[in-house]
Amino acid sequence: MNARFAATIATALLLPVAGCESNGGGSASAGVGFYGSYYGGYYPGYGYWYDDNDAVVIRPPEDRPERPTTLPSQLPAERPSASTQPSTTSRASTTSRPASRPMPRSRGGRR
Amino acid sequence: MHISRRKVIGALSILLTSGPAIAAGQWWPPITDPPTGQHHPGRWVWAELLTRDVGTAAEFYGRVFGWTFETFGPADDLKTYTVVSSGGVPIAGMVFIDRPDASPARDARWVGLMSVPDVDAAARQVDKAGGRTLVAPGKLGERGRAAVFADPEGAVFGVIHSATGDPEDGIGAENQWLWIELWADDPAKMASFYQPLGGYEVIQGAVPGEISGVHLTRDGAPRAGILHKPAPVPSTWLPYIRVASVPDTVARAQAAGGKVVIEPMRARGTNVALILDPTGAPIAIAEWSRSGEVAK
Repeated sequence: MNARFAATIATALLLPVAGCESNGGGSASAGVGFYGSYYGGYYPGYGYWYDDNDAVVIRPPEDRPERPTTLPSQLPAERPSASTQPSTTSRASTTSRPASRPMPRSRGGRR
Repeated sequence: MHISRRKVIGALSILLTSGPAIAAGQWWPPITDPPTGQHHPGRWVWAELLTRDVGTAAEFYGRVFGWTFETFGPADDLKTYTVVSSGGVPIAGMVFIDRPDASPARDARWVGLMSVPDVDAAARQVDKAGGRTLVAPGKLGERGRAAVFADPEGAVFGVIHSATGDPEDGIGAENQWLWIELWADDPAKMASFYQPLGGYEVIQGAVPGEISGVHLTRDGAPRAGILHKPAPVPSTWLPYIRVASVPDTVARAQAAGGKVVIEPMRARGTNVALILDPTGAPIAIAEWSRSGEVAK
């Protein structure tokens, strides 16, 4: 990651939230994930599909043709190799793939 | 459209601050390895799940879709990148957002990345058309050049010019990506926004009474849809996973802690449903025959 790109990201994401802090714990948020703030700085309008503990539920009408989907009747044919490609670990790679590590434990948490 | 719960879904302002934008030396997995050398502009070629709880999400998707996972990065969970594979094929990534140990909010989201020939030109187009650049164009290690935007309604999406090429064209096998659609307040306006980015032809309700919303096609191939959102949820891109049986998948999802937003329904000659993973990310599932036509 070059310094210019990192600086651009920092500028783009910090400007909208300058001066803000917060979360229920009352302490300033310091979350920096893999992307740092790559996808962070989630701007106003970012919401979620839960209301308290209940998910929004949508019930489409039974007798009308309108359905809440744009799924088309045809799509490009299935990739011939889509279900038969070998594991990534056995394919020749041209990249400098690092060693993997254990899956992050559930509920987040730092190791 | 009846909505069982009319409480307004609270907007969430996730306020991230400080810290280095991106730690140096992080590895960005290429989206195809080995390289394909082919690009399909306008096609959605990768997806990433942003969640506060990668572990819980992975457990869910593993149980429901049989996905497997490889995590890369340092000891700090928050700085890891988890590659998702289905049938041995890398199809997505999972990353942490915000503070997974500080809030129970289930606000995860899948973000799709569209293949473009020129990421910088795409950024200029987004700016010109009223979108916002969340991550300026940049080279992400071995992955290629990419950027992340919010469209004028706030839906997040990315663009990429993969250094190793795009996956081969065509739908994936079962438990891989099938389709992607945008839930929007104004489908026509959003179609105008995305049309130049993907070089799309915009098809408005080509089959009256059957197609809802808008189709974005390129060279005759449907690449995405835009639907007037049927619930007061944030505008968002919604990826579809191809499954062998929607009812069976819904049952597995519920057993694994997921929620059903749209019960299995018949649409376009096949079964479709919409579920939320335990961390709150919406995802659609649909059956699809191998012939390329929907099951009858």
